[in-house]
Amino acid sequence: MSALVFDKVSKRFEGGRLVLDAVTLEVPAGARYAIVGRSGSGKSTLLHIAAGIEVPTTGTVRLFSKALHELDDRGRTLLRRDNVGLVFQFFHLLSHLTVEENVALPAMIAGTMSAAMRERILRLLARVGLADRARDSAQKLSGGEMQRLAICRALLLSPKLILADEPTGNLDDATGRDVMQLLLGASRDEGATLVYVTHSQELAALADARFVLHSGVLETAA
Amino acid sequence: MFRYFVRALAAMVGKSPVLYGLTVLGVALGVASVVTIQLINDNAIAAFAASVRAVTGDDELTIVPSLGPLHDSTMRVALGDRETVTARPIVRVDAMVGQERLSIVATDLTQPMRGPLEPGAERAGDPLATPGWIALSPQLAGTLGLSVGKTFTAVAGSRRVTLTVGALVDFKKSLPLAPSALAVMDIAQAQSVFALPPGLDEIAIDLADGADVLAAAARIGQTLGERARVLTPDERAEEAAGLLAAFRLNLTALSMISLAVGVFLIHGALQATLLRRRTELGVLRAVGATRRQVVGLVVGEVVLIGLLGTALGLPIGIAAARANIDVVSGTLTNLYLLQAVEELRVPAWVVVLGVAVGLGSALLGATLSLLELRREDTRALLVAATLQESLLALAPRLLAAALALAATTIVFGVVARPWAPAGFVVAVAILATVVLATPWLVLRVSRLARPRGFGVAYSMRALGQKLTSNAFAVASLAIAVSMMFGITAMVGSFRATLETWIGTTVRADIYVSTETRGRLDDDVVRAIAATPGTRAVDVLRRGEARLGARTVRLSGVHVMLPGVPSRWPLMHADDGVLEAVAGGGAVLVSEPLARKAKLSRGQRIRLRTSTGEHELAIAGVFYDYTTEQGTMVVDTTTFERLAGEVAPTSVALYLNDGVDTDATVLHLQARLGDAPVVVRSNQRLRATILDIFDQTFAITVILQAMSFLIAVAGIALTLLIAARERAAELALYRALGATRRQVFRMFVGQGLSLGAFGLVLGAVGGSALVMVLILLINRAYFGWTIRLALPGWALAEQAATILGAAVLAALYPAMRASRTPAQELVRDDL
Repeated sequence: MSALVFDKVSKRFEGGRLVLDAVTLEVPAGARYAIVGRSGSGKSTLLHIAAGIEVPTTGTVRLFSKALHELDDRGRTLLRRDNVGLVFQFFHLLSHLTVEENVALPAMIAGTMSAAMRERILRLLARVGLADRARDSAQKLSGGEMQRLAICRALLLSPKLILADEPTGNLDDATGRDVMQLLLGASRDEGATLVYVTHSQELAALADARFVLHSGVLETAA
Repeated sequence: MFRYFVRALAAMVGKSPVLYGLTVLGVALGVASVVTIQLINDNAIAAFAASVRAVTGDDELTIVPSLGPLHDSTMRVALGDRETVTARPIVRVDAMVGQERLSIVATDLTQPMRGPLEPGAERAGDPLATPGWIALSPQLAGTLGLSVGKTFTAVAGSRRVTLTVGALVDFKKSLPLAPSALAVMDIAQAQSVFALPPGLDEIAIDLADGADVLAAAARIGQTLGERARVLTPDERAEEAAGLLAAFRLNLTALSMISLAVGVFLIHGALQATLLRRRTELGVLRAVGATRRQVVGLVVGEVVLIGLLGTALGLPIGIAAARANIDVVSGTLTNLYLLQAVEELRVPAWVVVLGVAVGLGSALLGATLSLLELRREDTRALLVAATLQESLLALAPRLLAAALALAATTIVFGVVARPWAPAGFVVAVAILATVVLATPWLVLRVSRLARPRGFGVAYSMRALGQKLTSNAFAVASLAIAVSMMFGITAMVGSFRATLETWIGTTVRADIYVSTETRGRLDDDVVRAIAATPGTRAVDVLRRGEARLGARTVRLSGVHVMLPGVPSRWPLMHADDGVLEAVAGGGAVLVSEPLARKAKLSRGQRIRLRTSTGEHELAIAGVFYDYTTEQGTMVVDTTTFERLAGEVAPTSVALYLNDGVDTDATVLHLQARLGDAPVVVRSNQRLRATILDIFDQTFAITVILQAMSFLIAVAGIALTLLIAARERAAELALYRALGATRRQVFRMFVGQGLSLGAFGLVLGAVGGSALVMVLILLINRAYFGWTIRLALPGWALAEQAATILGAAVLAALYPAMRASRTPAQELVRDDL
């Protein structure tokens, strides 16, 4: 079964710039795919369309067999909430929440906070080495810790698909490697499909399959 | 730089017109509240001055009695001064024509004067010879459907007289504020037709050209001695101003609170504007703009907001004053017996004040932001979080300052209590304490919130995130709520106290008086007293007395009536007090007079009345809410000794048990059909008193509403700013699966949280404020004891209104926030 299918997906922004040009991609469930490309090549847009955040200009996207173009905004939002975990380059943590609350945010939004959920949060934090920081403000963490926290948040609702946008882009090389290993290991353990974009060939090499996005055209990497 | 300013401003307004509009509205409402009150204050005094000058013209001096009427011989003194050209005797009569009030100024019409005797004026009959000849204003004649030559019936006291419209005189031509109720007739005619007691109310003196007015006043005053005072027109206006001083001071203080709330709103808006434009301003500095140029840009923007707010606030203020002038005029007529204010005049100084307040409040609101801009460090301008961080760090220190201020205020309140303005200082300090404590409390409570979902607890938690804007919104709402709660609780307590007081003092079953508070003729009094089923009759006579430099009301009643329980709410035990008044010739002093003149029980006072100087013992002090000027009560026999023969102004009847009050009222009305008196049952009199009370405080509702409106605009503004500033955060929620409805609800929850915070802090501030209003301000300026009795239902209604308004204010920002697309999550600006 395919987790994600792109069929001739194009995206043209206002002003006419073509960001994605007839992208076709099929990601099998449980696979780990990497997409590499330069800045502005359309990598983030591709992930946004996959998550139902952006709508393609032409072409169709299927997420776990559901055609996104057949869903309205609310439908896409709920599909994303229940099936997709997102990891961002700039972490996007909320400074007014504690470490634990930042992880809990998807459950708060989904209305599924419970004692069991709290145990899961603490387990996830323990797994990434942040158990003793649960009550701290997220602001007090280092860059690597922040991204590990963001990964916990992405994993909380046991998503079937994790989309990671330059997860190491804001970290030094060593920390970036650690974080990437963590992400790969966690997605495997959780049984989630992983699609990540990166500009690092080294990190891309860790994936099951690599693709290159060049001026909006997606090609299989050699 | 000017072109840059214009383009940047246009871009900013175009991008956020609602936000800009709300900022301007904040200034406008602040200006409006000040302008409304100052216009009302000014017009009340101007109406009084106009009523004086309309008939007498620009006479340089006026002789007014120190006590009772002026003796006719005073005219000889006035005419005897070497600089006097004319001296015009004046008697004033208040009358009613149907439901219309008539202020008759009776003077010597054989002397040249403006109006009725001017060549060309339409006249009929001889002012001196035609019985009841009177000149009316065309406005009143129109209202009454009268024309020159027609006769009509007027009522003064319990006397009904027939008058003839002899001329129509438009006093407003020369003095636009002259009341239309003004009427003029010959003094001899008035004295005869209305059967007035001998004496004059005042004498208007016209001096020779070039005469030294002050020297003439001093000379005439010296000749008259203590019998009368000689006043210049300015001094007369000052007398009216002095009479209204406490009333005006209170209204001005209230309008200042609205202004303070407006300043907070402006501050919040400018702070947000600056936050959004920090990068732009930082870049300007980086590319070589001087600090002065950058500050100049912001000052220009602030000045423009101030001017726009003033341009909008002035007409709102004028319209609000115009809409409420009747209410205030009614209060002034009821409480101070001043002329009604009919038309609103907008003097230039009020416009200048409005502009100064608009610009001043805008600049004051911008002070902190401008100080931030003056920082040397260009890089700091480029960091958006600086202000937020500084307030986070400052919050505990501000709380410490709040606690220190609270402690100092309590000590100051106790020590400085005898100093009248101390109450206002304490009130301001309370509001400042609330403001200073707000950031820490918002932060603390927001951190205490443990959200388990995306609901109100989450909204509460998020308040601490944008502490700068949220704390200012909460503080401004807290000030408005403090004022609303404080005044509502004070007015409610006052009303409850008054009701209790009425229960003690208004004991008779039926009261008979006249519409104009005039005299009741003897035959009318006899007829009333002969009402079947009557157990006891009390008769109230009123006069004036001088206590040192103070003119006080002197009332004569039967202090102890057989078979009637005591109706004197004494401030102390009644151990023979009433016996001392009834049989011993002692006096009861009202609480306001006792406080203001520092009188106490047992003290002996020297009282000057129309019959000379008398020494009296103070038998007791009683609670009294009829006048802030002060009243002394003596028994009827003592009154006659002090004031001579004075006709009664009202009669109270105590009926036998089982006698039907309403039937007796109808019986009396039928019996006194010819006598124009007002017969009220106990119940109706109580209702009338409470109606007057409610009318007195009606204007405070307008001010509360304005202040509240500004605070609600502050919430809307804060949330609108938040919807913009927190776009990335909102986008994150959307990316993590929050639906638009959830984001909408979260934002409305935030409005509710802001409202709830403001409500709780305002309730605390309001509780302190009501104690200050009751214990310090009221006692110092009015001398009344008010017992605290919280109007629970009214306060609950206000609380619900505040929360409801906070939710309403949040709707539009919430709608904007809910439309934030997840795509906004592209920047590192969380």
